[in-house]
Amino acid sequence: MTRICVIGNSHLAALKLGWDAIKPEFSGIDLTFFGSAGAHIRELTVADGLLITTDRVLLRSMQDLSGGLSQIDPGCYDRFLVCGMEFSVSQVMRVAAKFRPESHARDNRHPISDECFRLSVIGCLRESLMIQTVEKLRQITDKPIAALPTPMRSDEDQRPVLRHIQTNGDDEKIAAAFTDAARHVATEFNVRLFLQPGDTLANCLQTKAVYRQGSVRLRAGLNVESAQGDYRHMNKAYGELVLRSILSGWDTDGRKLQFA
Amino acid sequence: MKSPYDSLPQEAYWRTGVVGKTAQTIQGLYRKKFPITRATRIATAGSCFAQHIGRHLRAANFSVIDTEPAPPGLATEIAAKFGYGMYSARYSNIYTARQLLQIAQEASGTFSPADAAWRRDGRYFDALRPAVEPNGLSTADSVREHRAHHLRQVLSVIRSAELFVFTLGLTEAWTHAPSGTVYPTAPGTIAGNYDPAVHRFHNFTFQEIYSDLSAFFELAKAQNPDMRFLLTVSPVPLTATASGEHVLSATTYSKSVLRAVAGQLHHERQDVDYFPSYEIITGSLSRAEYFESNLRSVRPEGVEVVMRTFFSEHGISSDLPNGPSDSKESSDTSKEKSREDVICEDILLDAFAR
Repeated sequence: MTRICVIGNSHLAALKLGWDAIKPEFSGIDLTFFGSAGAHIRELTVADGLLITTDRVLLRSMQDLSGGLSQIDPGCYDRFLVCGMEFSVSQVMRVAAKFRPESHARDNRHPISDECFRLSVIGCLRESLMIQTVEKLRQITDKPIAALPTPMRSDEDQRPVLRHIQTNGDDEKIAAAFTDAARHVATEFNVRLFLQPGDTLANCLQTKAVYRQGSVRLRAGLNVESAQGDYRHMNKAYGELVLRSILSGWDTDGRKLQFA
Repeated sequence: MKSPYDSLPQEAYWRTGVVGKTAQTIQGLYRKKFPITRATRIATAGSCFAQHIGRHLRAANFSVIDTEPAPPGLATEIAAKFGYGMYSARYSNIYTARQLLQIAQEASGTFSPADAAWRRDGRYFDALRPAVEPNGLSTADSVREHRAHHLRQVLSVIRSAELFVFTLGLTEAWTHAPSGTVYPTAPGTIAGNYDPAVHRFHNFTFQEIYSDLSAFFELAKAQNPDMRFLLTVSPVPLTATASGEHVLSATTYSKSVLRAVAGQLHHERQDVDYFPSYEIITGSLSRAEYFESNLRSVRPEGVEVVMRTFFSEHGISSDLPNGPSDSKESSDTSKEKSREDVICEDILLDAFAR
């Protein structure tokens, strides 16, 4: 049995629902979920070789998701999967909102070199909640860690900024900047990176709407649908597809996960 | 018998004003001409020593203007390599008064530099601030576009600052002879190629520097009539001289001229104050203790004394909890860090020393 500890924020909901559906296919693997919506996961702290929290919201959510566990004991798991937690293409958009790299279409933003843009995006990902969590994990374990970025927003999202990026032809450059920076940071922190599967993408910056429809909030029971206009959270089908991709592709030291 | 020296204060005599004193205990060295508060909108520019002044002002919560903040995610030391966080705009070090006048004129549309895009290894650099992009840009057109954006920010600095702090660094410069354009570094140091037929060394005189600074003041006040100025002279010696003199003599000449110009303008103008950071660091009472072993770089302790003197005169507690370094670090570590985090292009000239 390979025991995997999955840590994340609200995007855990899709993975948890997906796992519940595909679990029978992976009888040699057991997943335990820990997390909370928003930035509460920041309140995890290292103590006596464990990840613990005194944050009541996080503690409650961890207990709900994990089946009653209130701390993360690295001895209980073989691998760790960290999900979402600001490790997102949104970080590239955040930089690009005010700063225009040399190779992007000209407009009134502050012009910067492509090199400066790249270092800025890498820095933003390095500061993300995911990498902060990885750093805590690395204090207590050297077991394999994999990272799954926050999903791209659904292609139902018609925000002007996205249209602008697509119209001026910078969408692929934005996506490539994220992939490049994510790989750089993953290597730096010895994390195996799993990018969002291409099958789920409508275009290089958006997820197919079918993977958003019917998504639920990360609450006990996972039975409350996401708010209308929430194009950020994905559904059970997305969780299934992504987890299949990870579990079948996650080899370490040349060994694949055993599904029994 | 009466003497005009009879009633002078103790600080007027070397024996009572200096002997037995230290840079920390000396009295009356700096007397402000006008108040500067945390609410004063301050612009900073100058040679690399000016970076210390800007950082300490920011750390003490003064309102230091930054029109070109770094992109998010860049650590401070990486941002500095791209010219961010050093001064009120991303102009990098301005070593000479002519450079200062030049950029103000360029921002105002009355000057256009010659040979403004230098090349190195197929990349293009802004010749007027070649260090702000460590690996340059892909085209000369990009350099021009980035510079045009930068100049708009420079104009914004001039229009919004209530106090312009300028640290005079050098008298020596390299020029594009046909046009008179002055560069911050010699061509061929960071980028570009030195062409003896085009590029000329120039050692600015008292009169030239006086005229350049006066012209800058007038140009700035035309945009911003209430602006005042604080001049300092960098205590950092020349890394190298092209004057033909020994570098020690060249340094003495250069700093003497700069100090004299600052003194002259201070005496002549109500809107110009002079702050004696140069005297604090280089004065004999400091016994060169504020220099690193290379007798050039200023130790963090020296910068702290300088800034405490400034803050004290302006009624700001000298018991400042934090300098620009991270207060979580041990003092040794933070001092070591601040030794390294000033960006000086002219240090590259060391590479040419045999």
